[in-house]
Amino acid sequence: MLKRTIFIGLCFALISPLLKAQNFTLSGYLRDQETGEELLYGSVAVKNTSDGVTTNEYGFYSLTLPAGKYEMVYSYVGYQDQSILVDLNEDRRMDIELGSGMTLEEVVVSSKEADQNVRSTEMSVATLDVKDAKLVPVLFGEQDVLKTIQLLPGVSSNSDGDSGFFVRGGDADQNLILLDEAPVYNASHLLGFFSVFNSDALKDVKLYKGGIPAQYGGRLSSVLDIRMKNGNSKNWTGSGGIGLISSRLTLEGPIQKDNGSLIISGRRTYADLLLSAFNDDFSDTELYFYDFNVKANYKLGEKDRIYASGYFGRDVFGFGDAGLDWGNATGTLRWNHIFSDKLFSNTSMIYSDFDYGFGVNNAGTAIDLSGGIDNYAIRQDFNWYPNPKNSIQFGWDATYYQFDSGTFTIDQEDNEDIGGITIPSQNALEASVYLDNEQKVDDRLSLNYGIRMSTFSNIGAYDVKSYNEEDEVVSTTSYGSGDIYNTYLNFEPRFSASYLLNNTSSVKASYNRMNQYLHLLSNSTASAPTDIWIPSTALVKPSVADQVAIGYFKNFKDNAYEFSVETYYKWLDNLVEYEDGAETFLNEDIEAELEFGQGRAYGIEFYLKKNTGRFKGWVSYTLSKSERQFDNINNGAWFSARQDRTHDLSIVATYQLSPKLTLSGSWVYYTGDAVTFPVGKYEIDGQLQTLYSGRNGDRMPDYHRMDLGLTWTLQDTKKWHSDLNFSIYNVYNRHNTYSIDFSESENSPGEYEAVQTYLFGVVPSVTWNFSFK
Amino acid sequence: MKFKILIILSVFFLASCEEVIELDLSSSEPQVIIEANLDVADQTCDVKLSLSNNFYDSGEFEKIEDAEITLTSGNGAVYTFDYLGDGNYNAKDVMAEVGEPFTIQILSATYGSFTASAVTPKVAIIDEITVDELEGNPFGGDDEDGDKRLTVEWQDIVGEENFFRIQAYLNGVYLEGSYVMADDRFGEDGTLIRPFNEAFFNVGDEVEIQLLTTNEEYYDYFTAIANGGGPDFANAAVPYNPSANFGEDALGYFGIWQKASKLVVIE
Repeated sequence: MLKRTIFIGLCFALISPLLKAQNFTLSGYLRDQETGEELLYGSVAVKNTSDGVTTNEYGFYSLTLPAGKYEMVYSYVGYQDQSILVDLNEDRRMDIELGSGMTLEEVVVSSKEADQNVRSTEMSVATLDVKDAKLVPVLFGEQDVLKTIQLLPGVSSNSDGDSGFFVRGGDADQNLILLDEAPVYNASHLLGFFSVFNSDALKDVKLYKGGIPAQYGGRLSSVLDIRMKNGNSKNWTGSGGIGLISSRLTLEGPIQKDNGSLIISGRRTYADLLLSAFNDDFSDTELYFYDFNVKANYKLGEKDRIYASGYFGRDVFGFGDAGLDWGNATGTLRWNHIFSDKLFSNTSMIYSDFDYGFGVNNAGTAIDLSGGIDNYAIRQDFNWYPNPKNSIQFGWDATYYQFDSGTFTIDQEDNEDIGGITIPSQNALEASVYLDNEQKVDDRLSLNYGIRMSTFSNIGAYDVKSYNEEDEVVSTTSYGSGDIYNTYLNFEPRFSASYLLNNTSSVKASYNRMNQYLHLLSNSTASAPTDIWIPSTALVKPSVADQVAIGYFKNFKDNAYEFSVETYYKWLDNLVEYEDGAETFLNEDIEAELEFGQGRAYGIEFYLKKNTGRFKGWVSYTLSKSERQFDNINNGAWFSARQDRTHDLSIVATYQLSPKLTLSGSWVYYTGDAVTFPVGKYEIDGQLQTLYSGRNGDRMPDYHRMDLGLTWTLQDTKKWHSDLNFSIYNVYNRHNTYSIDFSESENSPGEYEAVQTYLFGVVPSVTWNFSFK
Repeated sequence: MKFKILIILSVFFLASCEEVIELDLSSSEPQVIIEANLDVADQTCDVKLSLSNNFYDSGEFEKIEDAEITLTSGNGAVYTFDYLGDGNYNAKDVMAEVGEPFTIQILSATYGSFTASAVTPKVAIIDEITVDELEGNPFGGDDEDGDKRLTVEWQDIVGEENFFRIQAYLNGVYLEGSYVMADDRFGEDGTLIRPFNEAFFNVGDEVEIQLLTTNEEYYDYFTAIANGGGPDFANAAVPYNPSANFGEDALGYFGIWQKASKLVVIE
C-alpha cells in the first residue's frame, strides 16, 4: 500500500510541471573561493520565493525553472552570501565560489542557509562544522569529531573519555560510520579513547539519528556520514600541530590548478616514547597509534571527475614478549559524471578492512590470535532534478563481506604443533536498490519519501549447523564455494515531512524502517578490538528497527538562535546478545550461545544554539528510556539497556575575548549507566562468590564533568598562522566512575566495600597548531 | 579479558586511580547453596549446604542442618548420608562405574527439595609435569609468589568430549581457589598440555598436582565461576549467578570426578 502511494505520488510530481511554460536548467557546483573545496549541502535559492535546492554530497546543484529573470542567492554557513542576477533563457552552467566572509571582529552569518534547520525536510540530523568542533576543549587536546557529536541531543557517550557513542538508545554496533562512503568497522583507537578520524583531513560530518534517507541502510540507529577534504585546488598549503601525546601534519595542493588536487594527512601518538624516557620499566613497551589519510581528485572535462581516497590506521601495543595490534584500512574510488544538467551520478568502488592480531612469545611457546572483517562494494547513486519541486535520488549497491571470526595457534619450539583453532570464515552479499524524492508540495509543505529494498545472502563454502537446546550440534549441512544458502529480502520505507508554520518555525515528522545484517558480539563494556562481527544467518535473523519522530523547529532574532524539540519512539527487533556464561572465545558454535530479543527506546530532545556573535554555543538536553527484553535473560522481563540514560545534558560555549583569544568551555551531566550490582554473597569451594539480582537493575553514580579551553593566536598573516591551544579536561576533578569492584576491606577483614576506578582527574594539555599558505 | 584490563591499567597508570566509595546495595533473600562432590576413587560423596547473606554482611554463612540426603545409582543402589556438623554431610562406600548415572536428592523441611543428576566420567592419567622459570611472563605474578611454573601433560580420552580440573597441594596443604579448568578443544584425542598459572612455586616446594576428570555440568559451573562469579567483578562480562544441575531454585553443583595425581619436588 505504502509503495503504491509513493509510486503514484512520484508520477504526479513528475508530470504536473510539464503542463506549464518552457523550462530551463541552472546547474553547477558551489565551492570555497580560497581552497576550491566543494561546499556540501549548501543552499541555492531564488530570492523571495520558496524555490531552491541544496547542493548534494559533491557540491553539485541543479534547478529547473520557467524561462525568466531571477535573483539567485547562494549561501553556506560561515560564508558570505552571493546574489547573482540570472537571465534564464537557455540551460546555464554556473559554478559559484563563496568567500569565507570573515571579518576580524566576528563571523557574519545571515542567510537562507542559516534557516535550513527550519525549512528542510531533514529532522533528527546533526551537521558538525569541523572548524567549530576544533574550539571545543577535549582530552589531551586531541580534537575529535566523535566526541563533539556526543555533546548533541540524542547522542550519548560510552564511558569516560571514550569515542564510542549511542544514538537514541541504540547499541554501539547500530551506527553506520562511513568515511568517504567506506564503512569503518572499529572507529576507536587505544580502546576507545580516541577516534580514528583526524579532524585535519575532514570536510563534513553529518549524523542522521532518524528520518534516514533511502540511500543509506544496513544499521538500525544512525548513519554518520564523514567526508574527507578534497584538497586545495588553488595553492599548496599545509597545517599541523604538536601536542603532548601526538603530532599531526597535513599537506594539500593542486595537481593542476582548478582541475585536480591532493591531500595527505598523518598523525601519530608517542605516549610510549615519553614513558620509556621517564621510566626504565617501560623501555620495552610499545604503545602508539597512527593514521594516514590520502585523497586525490582530477577533473576530466566539465562533466567528469574522479576521486581516489584512502585511510590507513593502526594501534600497536607491545609489552615484553606480548603484543596486540589492530586497525582499519579503507579505500574509495569515485567517478562523478554529469549526464545532463538535470542528472548527476556518482559511481563508487569501496574497500574496507578491519583486523586484529595478538601474539605472545614466551619461553619457546608462541601463541597467536587473529581475526577481522573486510568488504568490497560497488554503488551507483543518481541525482535527478526534473523540476524545482522535486529532487529525485535513486541508486543501487552491492557489498561482498568476508567474516574472519578468529584463528588461534600455539607453537612450542621443542614440541610438534600442539594445537590451534580456526573458526571457519563466512561470506555474504548485501545488495540494495533505492528511490526517494524530495518534493515541495507548496510554499509550506515539503515531503521526502522513498523506499529501499535490501537483500542479504550467505555464500559458501560453509558448513551450516543446527543446534538443540543444550547448544549441541544436531546436524551439519555443507555448502560448496559460491553456493548461496540463505537469503533475506526486506523493504524499508522512509518518510519525512516538514510544514512551515511561518518564516521562522516549522513542524516536522518522520518514519523510517531499517534492517541490519551485521551484528557485533561484545561481552564487555568498553570497545575491544577482539569483539567480533558476525553475519545474519538462517538462525541469526536480521535486526529490524522502526522509528517515528516529530519535532518543532524555531529560529529567533534573524536566525541568531536555533531551537528545536524532537520526540521519538523506536521499536527494535531480532537483537542479538550472548547468553549467560557464553563460551565466547574462539567458539565455532557461537551461534548456539546467542539469545535473541527485542528493544524499545523513546525520548524527547531539546536543543538551543546560538550561531552568531562573539559568544556562541549550545545547550542540549535529552530525557529518554531504552529497554531490552530477551526470553532467557532476566527471567524474560524487560530491563534497562546499559546505555539507558534518563537525563543527558550538554552545555558548550565559546567566547571570543579578543581577535587573538578565544575561550571555550563545556559541561556534561548524565545519569549513570544501568548495571548489575551484587545483592549478596556466598561460598563455593572455599571461595567467596557474588550473588546478583536482575539484569541492569542498578545505576552507576551520575557522571558530570567540566572542560575549559583557550586558543591563543600567536601569528596570523597571509602566509602563516599559528596558535596555542590550552585545555583542561575535568576542571573540578570529578572522580567519574569507570568501574566498581567489590573487595574485602583492609581495615575490617570479612567485610566488603565498593571500590571505584576512575580514569581521569584533572588533565591539562597544550597543543601548538600551525598552518601555512 | 584479563589482558584488556592489563592494557587499560598500563595505559592509564598515570591517571587512573582507585578509591573506596559509599554505595548502597539492595538486600536479598537467602539463597540455598549446594556443593556435592562424588570422589570415585575414594568412594565418598561429600555435600555442603549453606545460605547466601547480604553483600555487606560480615561473619559466617548460615548452614542448613536439617537436610535428608539420598544418592541413587544407575543400578538401583541407594546411599544415605551422615550429618557431620557445620552444614557438611557424607556418604561412604559409594561404588561408581564409568558411565553410571547418579541422582542426588536433598530434602530440607525449611528450604525445600533439590535434585540433580550426573554421569561418572572416565579417568585420565598425568604423563608428565614440567617446571619452568617465569621470568618475562606477561601473566606472571608479583614478587611474593614463587617464580617456578608447573605445566601438566596428559593423554586425552579418545573419542569423546572430556572435561578436566587441575588443582594442587603445596607441602600437603590444599591450595584453595587455585585451580585450572580445561577441556580437550586444544589437542583433542592427543596430548593435552596446560600450564598451571594459578599459583607459582619456589625451589624446595613439594607440590602434588591432581588432575580431575569431571562431568560436564561440574566443568561448566567452575568455568563460569572462574570467569567472573567472584567478587572481582570488573572481569565479569555480564554479571549473573551461575547454576549447574540443581535447577533454578538452588545455586551450586553436583559433580562426579575421577582423580589422578603426581608429586613433584621443585629443584
